[in-house]
Amino acid sequence: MVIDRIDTVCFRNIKKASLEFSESFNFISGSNAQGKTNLLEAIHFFSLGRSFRTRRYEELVQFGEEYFFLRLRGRSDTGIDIRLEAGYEKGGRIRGSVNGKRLSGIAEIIGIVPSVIFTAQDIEIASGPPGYRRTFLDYTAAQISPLFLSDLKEYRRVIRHRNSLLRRYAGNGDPRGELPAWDEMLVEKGAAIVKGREETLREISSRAARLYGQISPGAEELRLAYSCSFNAPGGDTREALREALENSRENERRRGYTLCGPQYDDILLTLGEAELRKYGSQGRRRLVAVILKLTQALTIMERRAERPVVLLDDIFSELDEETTVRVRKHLTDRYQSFITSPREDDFPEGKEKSARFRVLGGACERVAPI
Amino acid sequence: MNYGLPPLQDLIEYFKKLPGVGEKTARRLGFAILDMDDREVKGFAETLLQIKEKIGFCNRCGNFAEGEICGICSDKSRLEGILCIVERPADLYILEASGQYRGRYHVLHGVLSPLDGVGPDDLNLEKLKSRVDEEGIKELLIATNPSVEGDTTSLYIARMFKDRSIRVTRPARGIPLGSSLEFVDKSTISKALEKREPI
Ligand SMILES: Nc1ncnc2c1ncn2[C@@H]1O[C@H](COP(=O)(O)OP(=O)(O)OP(=O)(O)O)[C@@H](O)[C@H]1O
Ligand SMILES: [Mg+2]
Ligand SMILES: [Zn+2]
Repeated sequence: MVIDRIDTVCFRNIKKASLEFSESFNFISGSNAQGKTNLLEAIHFFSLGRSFRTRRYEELVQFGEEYFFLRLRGRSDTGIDIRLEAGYEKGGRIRGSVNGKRLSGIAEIIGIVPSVIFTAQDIEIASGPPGYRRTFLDYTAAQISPLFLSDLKEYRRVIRHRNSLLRRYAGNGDPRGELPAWDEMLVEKGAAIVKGREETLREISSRAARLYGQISPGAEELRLAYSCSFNAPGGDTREALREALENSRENERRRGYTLCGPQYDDILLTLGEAELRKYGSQGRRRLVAVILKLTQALTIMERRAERPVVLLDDIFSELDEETTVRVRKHLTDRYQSFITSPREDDFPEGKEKSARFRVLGGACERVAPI
Repeated sequence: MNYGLPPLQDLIEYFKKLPGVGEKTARRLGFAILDMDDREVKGFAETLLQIKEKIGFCNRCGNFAEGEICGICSDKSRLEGILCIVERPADLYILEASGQYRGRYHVLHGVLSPLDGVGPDDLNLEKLKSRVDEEGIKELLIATNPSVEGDTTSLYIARMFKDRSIRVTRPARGIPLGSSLEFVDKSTISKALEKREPI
């Protein structure tokens, strides 16, 4: 997918913008709080049919206004012209259209503009609690297999049912003998989740290691390993989960919610022998988080017919110059990318096709190459 | 929309309660009723009233019935020894239409769903237990929808009879994931019933 152009009206602090993009690099600079991330948010909106920052559409409407409107024009990899529109009026429903055809639900837009975005928060994949790594892995797994996504939704539903049962009978056992059926269901769906995650990790870990090696030549090896909260490596997932449920039965009844399952699993990230989260330097952690996101992009490219768009929000602030140059090199010719930075000189003019934009108080303009 | 015709507006609101009927269709149906001749409208209205009066649930299987026992339960030509368990009477009619299954049914009137406060006591399960004994049932074919709730309900029922020599089966997963019986075509249903699997 290549995005040729974006038009926005009353989106965040951007009153009105009409921008034409390069099919390769797009550099967006401007001081803090001027609207760079807002512009990425507008571009990314078409990937999910919502913002990556909030689920509340009202927040996206410019202060003092009643609605926002977004339009994207682009081309699919097969050369089909695509025009996407999305609009929202306060108190109403989000509406979207594809090539003029109104969508019955905005979720139908998902998949047309596959994308990978790196935001300030994504450093947490390398240094934060396990939830960030699970989300990263689940999202990647869902890109590879649509079945994984339905398994994940079903698993979450099982947990919610089971928790409601545990809460209802808190401390009073299970008078109608319902729990064993829900346990079996949890084991079934939980095992499917673990299997999907492990397969995904097997597929992406060598890809991530290779990419890390290219961008940090000579550095320690990057390794990704699935760390199951209830099973030892090589053990039978179903058996282990059954046993874990058995062992936490009393505790679960007292606490009123499910205490074991893949919702407590993690990915162990190591550089050489050292666990990244504990021993990695700030720059290394940021780089690994970026590498993981770029691995996601490679995986989408491998598995899907459509090339993803890559959006990187201020990734270079802690990276040294050589690393920055290599990341840029990796992006060249692979993706259309949108990269922000508060410092204009983060983006020395390169050989590749590129476009520059400056954002000031919500006004976005394309500027001449420096 | 307001036509300054409250009775028509009321009628339209009622039509909108029907599945698959939105504002536009409801309006069309409302105007169609206005166009009907008086005798026909009267017949329609009386049928609506009678349907609730005359049709209740079968005392044995929970299907719709005119009288105590439904047509399927009183049909002597049905296979003995097997029961097909469904969530709602509507599912039963879909299975019947496939023509593949020749036994009798048992309608649960729901599935286990703790989030909605639905437990075993809310389902037609006590009656199922007594039927299994009284009718000498050897196989239970559980055709609840392939949802988390439907699957769990089938596991629950399987456990209810685990100490008895009863074969408990589930239609093969020819049925697309997460879909409900309503949206599956006949041949898929036939195949799924033919290839049922033990739980
Ligand atoms: N709905 C809205 N209406 C108007 N302005 C908004 C709205 N939402 C956010 N803003 C403003 O947008 C500005 C932040 O923009 P943004 O997050 O894009 O900054 P940025 O250029 O990425 O800055 P930084 O370099 O600090 O990340 C803030 O000044 C904020 O008040
Ligand atoms: Mg920002
Ligand atoms: Zn009956």
